[in-house]
Amino acid sequence: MEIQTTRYEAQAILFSAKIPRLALLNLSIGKCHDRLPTVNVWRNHGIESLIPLTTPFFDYQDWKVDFRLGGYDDTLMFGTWQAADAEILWLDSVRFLVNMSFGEWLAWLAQRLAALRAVSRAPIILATWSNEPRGTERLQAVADGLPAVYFADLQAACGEFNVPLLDSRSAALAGTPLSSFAQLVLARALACHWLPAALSPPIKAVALDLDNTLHEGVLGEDGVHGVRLTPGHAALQSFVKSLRARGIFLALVSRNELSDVEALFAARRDYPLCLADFSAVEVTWGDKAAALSRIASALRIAPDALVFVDDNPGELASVAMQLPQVHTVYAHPDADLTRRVLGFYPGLWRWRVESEDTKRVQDLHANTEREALAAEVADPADYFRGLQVKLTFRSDPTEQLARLADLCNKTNQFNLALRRFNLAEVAACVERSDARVTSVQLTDRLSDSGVIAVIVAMSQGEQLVVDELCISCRAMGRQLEDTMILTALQESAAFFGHTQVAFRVRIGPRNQPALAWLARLIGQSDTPAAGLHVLPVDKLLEFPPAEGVVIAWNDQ
Amino acid sequence: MDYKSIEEVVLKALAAVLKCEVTSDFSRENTPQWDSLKHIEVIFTVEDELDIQFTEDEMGGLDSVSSIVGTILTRHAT
Repeated sequence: MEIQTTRYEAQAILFSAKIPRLALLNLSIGKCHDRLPTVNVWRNHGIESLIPLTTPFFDYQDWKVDFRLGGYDDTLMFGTWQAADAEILWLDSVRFLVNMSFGEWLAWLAQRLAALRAVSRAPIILATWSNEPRGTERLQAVADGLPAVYFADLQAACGEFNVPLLDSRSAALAGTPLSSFAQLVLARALACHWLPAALSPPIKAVALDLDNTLHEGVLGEDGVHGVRLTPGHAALQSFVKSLRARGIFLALVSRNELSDVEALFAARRDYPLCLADFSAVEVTWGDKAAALSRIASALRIAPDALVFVDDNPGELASVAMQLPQVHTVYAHPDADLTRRVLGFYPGLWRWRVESEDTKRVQDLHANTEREALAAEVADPADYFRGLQVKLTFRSDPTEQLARLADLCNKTNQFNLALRRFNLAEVAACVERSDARVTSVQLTDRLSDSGVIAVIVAMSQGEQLVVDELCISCRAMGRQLEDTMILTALQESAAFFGHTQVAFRVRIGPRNQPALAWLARLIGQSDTPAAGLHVLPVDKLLEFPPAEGVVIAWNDQ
Repeated sequence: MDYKSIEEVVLKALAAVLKCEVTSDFSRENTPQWDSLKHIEVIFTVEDELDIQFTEDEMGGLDSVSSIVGTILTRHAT
């Protein structure tokens, strides 16, 4: 409780528009570090004075980061490379452009990134800037040329807060031309945006209280037209609405009468948010932790993919105690501050918005209609035909790597091997001639659910070893698991000419659905043990796909 | 601002950066951990707290608590 209170109090310093350096350095947040990532830093200018500034931001998210700093090296030889969770290229572009043109530098940089990619499977953050015309786009293109390489534009990060990137005074003393203000802004961006977006599973939903959070005042006391939409609250609502457009679920959790809340959103046309923007609404006088559990269940997400925002520290403490996985944010009277806390909340920011993300919100709404249809139709084949269900399989789909890595890292229930391949590792599997990566996309007449399954199989001797098998929870319960997995494996086994399939199993805290599926497939009554479970390919070939489902391969 | 209140800010900045107890007789000469990297952090922290910016010429001479306070007082006086 005390640590949570300290965290809420720290929000005012960590997420202020102008970060106070002294207060930041003196900030002491409870140090219950549950994540200890190591980060290799390859640089040609100083980062030492920025690292102490990142510590409070990492403490806020219970991280302790071990930065391994190499010496200044304009040649980027990576000679002292050791495995790490992330790689950062911390580069002063101006130093390079003294001796070569911008185009020459980009070509050389692409080559050095490829060299690092060849030895490291960790995400790579290219942190630099360009003053050249279209320089930013060209640097972005270099990063996009390799899997799991991300361009952190230092100039743009400073521009967002209107602070100068460079200060000639600091170069001689600190070994970096970055200004004092830039160091503060970049420390926050590195700790709250860039590293969490590269290393952590994404936050998928924001659950918000209503009174004194989304507006000023109490609906039950002030009435529909008495509660106030301050400019700060309007900006907060607009920001929250923009999250929905990026595929992040919104939920409303309020102690009010539902009829009052409905009347509020119907009457207040000045509110950027409308009630339909919330994928889950829990307006009750009951326990908010219980409401959040129901929301996570309705949205088919794990509690650790949910952020709860409330102005009542008591409510936040109660939720933190009952659901410690749920992230909690204190909603300040200054709604601009609340907006910045959410804007920087680790895991909410993305390097890019994938089309799969935006499908998530609309697909959930279609589920209600699917469930109604399933209740009406007894024959599964009629149900599939009625919905025009189609499964599209793709082998080694290089264009879907980010989504496949997301599935590997975020799927907990239907995840048989829990290998947790990151983007670079999935990309390496796609490249290997002795591996087969198959993705499955699910569509029906109600919505495109997107890519909802990934199967990674390796050719090892006589066996096709299934090294990773994940199905998104948004596709579970639709009686398509057998068709998705076995159709994919039939193709992979035929491709390599194997006679046996071996399923790799790892027991996790929540992967019982995947284990139960395998037990049924191999005719075992107990939960399969960790290790390999072998099945003759003949058994796979006996399996017919679900009747009424359209099967397509590689966009046929 | 008077000498005492400026000195208080400088000592707070120094303590926050060096992570140790500090006194008004601290200088770069008698404090090994006050190296060039820590020095720029101290200077930036003092600038931030007092909303001032030292010139490059001034920065070279800011090597003790008293010299930092003295430089700021001189600025206020002119």
